[in-house]
Amino acid sequence: MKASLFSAARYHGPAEDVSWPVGGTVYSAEHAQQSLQASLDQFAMADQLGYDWVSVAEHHYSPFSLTPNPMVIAGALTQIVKRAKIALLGASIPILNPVRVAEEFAMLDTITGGRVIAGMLRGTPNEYVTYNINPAESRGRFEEAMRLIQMAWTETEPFGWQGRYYEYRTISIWPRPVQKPGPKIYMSGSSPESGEFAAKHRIGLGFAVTNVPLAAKAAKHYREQAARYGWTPEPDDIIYRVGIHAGRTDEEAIEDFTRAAALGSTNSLTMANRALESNIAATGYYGRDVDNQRKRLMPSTLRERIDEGRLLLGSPDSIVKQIEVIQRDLGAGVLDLTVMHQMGAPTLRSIELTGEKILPRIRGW
Amino acid sequence: MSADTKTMPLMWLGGGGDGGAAALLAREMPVQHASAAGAAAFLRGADARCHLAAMGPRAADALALALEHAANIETLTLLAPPEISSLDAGLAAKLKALEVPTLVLFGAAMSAHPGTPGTQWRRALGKGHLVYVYGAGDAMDTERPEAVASLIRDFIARREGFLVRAADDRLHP
Repeated sequence: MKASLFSAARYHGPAEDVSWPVGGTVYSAEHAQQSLQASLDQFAMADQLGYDWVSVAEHHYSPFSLTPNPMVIAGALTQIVKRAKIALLGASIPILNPVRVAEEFAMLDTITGGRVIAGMLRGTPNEYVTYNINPAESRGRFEEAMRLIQMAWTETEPFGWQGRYYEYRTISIWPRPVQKPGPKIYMSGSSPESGEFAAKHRIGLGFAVTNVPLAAKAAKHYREQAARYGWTPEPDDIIYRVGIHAGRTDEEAIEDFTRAAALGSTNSLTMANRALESNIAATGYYGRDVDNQRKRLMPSTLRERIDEGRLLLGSPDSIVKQIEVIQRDLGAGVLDLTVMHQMGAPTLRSIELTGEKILPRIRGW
Repeated sequence: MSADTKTMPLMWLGGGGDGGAAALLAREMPVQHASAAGAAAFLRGADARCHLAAMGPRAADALALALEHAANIETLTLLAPPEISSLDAGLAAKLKALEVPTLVLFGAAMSAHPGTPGTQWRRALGKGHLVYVYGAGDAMDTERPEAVASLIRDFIARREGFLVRAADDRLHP
């Protein structure tokens, strides 16, 4: 089993964080700079501690994340993360220019000598409002953009693209990816439609903002669909993103986390603005499993998060047991371990304990 | 679309059934479904000029016509032509010298392996353009007729200029 350190690079500073989007009247550039630097330092630390990957994501208009363009922070990571793979989990491709995304992934892959993981996501529903894209077009844009990105990576002659959503008369990217035919691709796979698409095209699947029972059900569907297409996903084809905070004892971890949760940001992005979310849902964004897809975005209590495998919390021994359950029920080959709150020393201790006391015990699983 | 484009015929070799791209183009310009012999007879006429399009294996006929009547053919569009290796060796050897502005279309169906055979065609044609049509395979003219017709229309109207976007994309005045 592999492990990645994931940080959305949350902003820790003054903010009127009551809905989405979040305004910037009390925004502090100094706190933003410190928040981003803290995440960069933690990624470098993870690299030195032996984490297999470090991962970044894309979210907009909120202190939930200071990486609206994950390519930019990944560019910074290429200079400080010397060994681990750099996973972009991922770019919200339906709202972006796919040729630009292909170029950026290729740049990162070239700078790192082939250490990039290319997550391509539909993103959280609120992202569609960010760049004024119709959420009803999300899946169609996603599928076309992914195909175009793959073609841009592999086609050696200049080519045009006559798509449903994208039209280019000539494309020929420089640089081109080091990895052939391109970086390993993952997509988010919580909905049945996503699992079917990923299985059909032999794409890895990532689960985030969900829980183990829902992810296990979706992973089962993915494996069944893959069998239909004549292949069997490897453990590394499934990533599970889960919050983590390790302490020297269970009591220390719970106390640290509870204190930070009470003080920290509670913005849940999409569900921070229920009226907006309802309007997005009305476009058909969620697909045929709409109830579960909406439910998994709802905030939950600390106890629920631990019980449902959304959060690993406790001493290294306790967390290893919690990971055992994820491994048993889901069979994910990669854990995307999320820094939930920036607590200073306790966060650094958690990253260190995880690297030194937990990862060596799960690596052989 | 310029006046000569509206009056100059598009000779269409192969395919081109009801509801396809050829039928859509026929609403705006004269489209003549022709055999290779019929197109050759037309091109032997005094001052004959036309655009030429060919579906699938009819690419070989269209290329032979374009090489023989380069001065009379304004543009050549090949839709899902066969692999270069299936062409007569003599014909394949002359592709680099083809002077007629040429557009080659391939479907970008997900099952297709990227890189071939569109790559081969793009390399073989000295001045050709390669465009992938998303959501379509070899039957692209009926699978995505609007997309294919739009592309051919633009290429016929603007030749090399079709690389440069000319649409007015302003949302509001």
